[in-house]
Amino acid sequence: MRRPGRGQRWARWVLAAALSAAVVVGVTAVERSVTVQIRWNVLPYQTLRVEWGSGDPSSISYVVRGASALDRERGYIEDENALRLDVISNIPWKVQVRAAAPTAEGILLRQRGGEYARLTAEPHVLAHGRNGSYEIAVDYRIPVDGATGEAAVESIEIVCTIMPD
Amino acid sequence: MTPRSRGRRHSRRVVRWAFAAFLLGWLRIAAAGVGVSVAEFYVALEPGGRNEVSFSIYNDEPGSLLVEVSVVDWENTADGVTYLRSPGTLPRSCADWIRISPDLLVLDPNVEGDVTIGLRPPPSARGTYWAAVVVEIAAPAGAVRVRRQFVVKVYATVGRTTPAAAVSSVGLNGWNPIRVTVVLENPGDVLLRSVTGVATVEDRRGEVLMEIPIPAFHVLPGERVERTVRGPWPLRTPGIYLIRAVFDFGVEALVAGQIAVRIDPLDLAPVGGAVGLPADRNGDGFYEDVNGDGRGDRADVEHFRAHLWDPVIQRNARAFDFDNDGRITLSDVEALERRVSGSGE
Repeated sequence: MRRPGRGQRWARWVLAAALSAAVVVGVTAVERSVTVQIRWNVLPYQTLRVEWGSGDPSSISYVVRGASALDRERGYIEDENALRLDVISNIPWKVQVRAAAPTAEGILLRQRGGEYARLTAEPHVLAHGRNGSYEIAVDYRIPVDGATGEAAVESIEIVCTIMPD
Repeated sequence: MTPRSRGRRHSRRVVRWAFAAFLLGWLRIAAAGVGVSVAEFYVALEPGGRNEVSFSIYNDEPGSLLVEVSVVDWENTADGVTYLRSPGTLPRSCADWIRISPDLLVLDPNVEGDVTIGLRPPPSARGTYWAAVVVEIAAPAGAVRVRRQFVVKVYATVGRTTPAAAVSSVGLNGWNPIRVTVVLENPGDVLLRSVTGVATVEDRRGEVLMEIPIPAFHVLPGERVERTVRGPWPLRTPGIYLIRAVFDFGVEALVAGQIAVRIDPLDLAPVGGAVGLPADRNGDGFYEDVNGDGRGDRADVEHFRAHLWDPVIQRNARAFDFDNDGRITLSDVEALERRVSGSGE
């Protein structure tokens, strides 16, 4: 058998060294491939925007419209999409509403598509959801005063509270 | 406090503020409005120690806002309503050891204000205590006004405590689709945070028929929380089933409860002198054709209403539980009415 030449021996050494290096690097890589535990807290944030049906973002108060003949007949003024709430939250949330003072007798509120609930000084859940961005349309009914034929309530203050659910 | 712990605390604060700044920036792009950068705080304290956390209120609306900040107690009712109470009036309130600064802010448009919450528990405090910081935006003048409030909940856990949990009941309260109600209680003194669970339904051979995830929830010390989850389909085949609820409440051990339920074969007969047997005309498991005349219509609603307490109806409840609450009541008549008029589910 012919002995390998000096160049071939050198090539073998280089190949062996390269393989050894690859194995060593591989082993090191395996050793370095450890599970790293990273802990962080995702901050739960919430934002609430209130907009009246007019779409005017600068106006967050509202004037009750005059009663129509239909309103007088049925005994209430109904305003659908009167109020819009935009909620953004990265955790489950809820919005509760209540009357700031007991002057809101007979006023009903509902999330569009839901059932009307009486607005009283006791809070009730108007809407809730999981994390995400939501647009909530709110309808209301205000009773018509039989004597004057106009809205029975002149002034209302609604407290709208958003919180983690 | 050592320089090293001060450094750690400082770097934590930097990371936290960087993240909050990122969120605030993102929120500004996402929507204008008023917001709080943190809606819930979980604060760990040593007995007799102190801690401080902070959050931002931002105003991306066109006008200036007057913002009042105060501390309250809060409690939940079984129907999910949260009541705000005077500070320091409820058991395990931490309102008395919270100091906020400032308590009044004027926020111009596109400006944010910071609120700092300082907590200093008494040396005897152990376990989780809670309260809330209310951020209230004054309502503008007008006939109909909206006053906005944000409730930032604060949970303060003092000392090293061991969480405890127990499943106090598992029940089947709907057949089509299956509805399982579970009650988890917290007999310990530490908040069970983000408890997750799963309800599994097995047949008598131990084959898992369905797994229903239970979304995460918190259980305050001493509180019982009821959760109802819906499975994907009904249990129609008569037999014995095992329903098990398993919860992960953040320790090495899990906690579970189970119940065996028997689904009997239907034992139908004509209801109230009707001509035929009640029938399920569309194969959905509900017997809308109560009077057995071959149609599901208004006459079935009236027949059902008239014979709601008939033994045939009551002993075959799963065929007539149209509102799927596990009981036969007048609300099932209303649910049937919606079905036959085409507005039901």
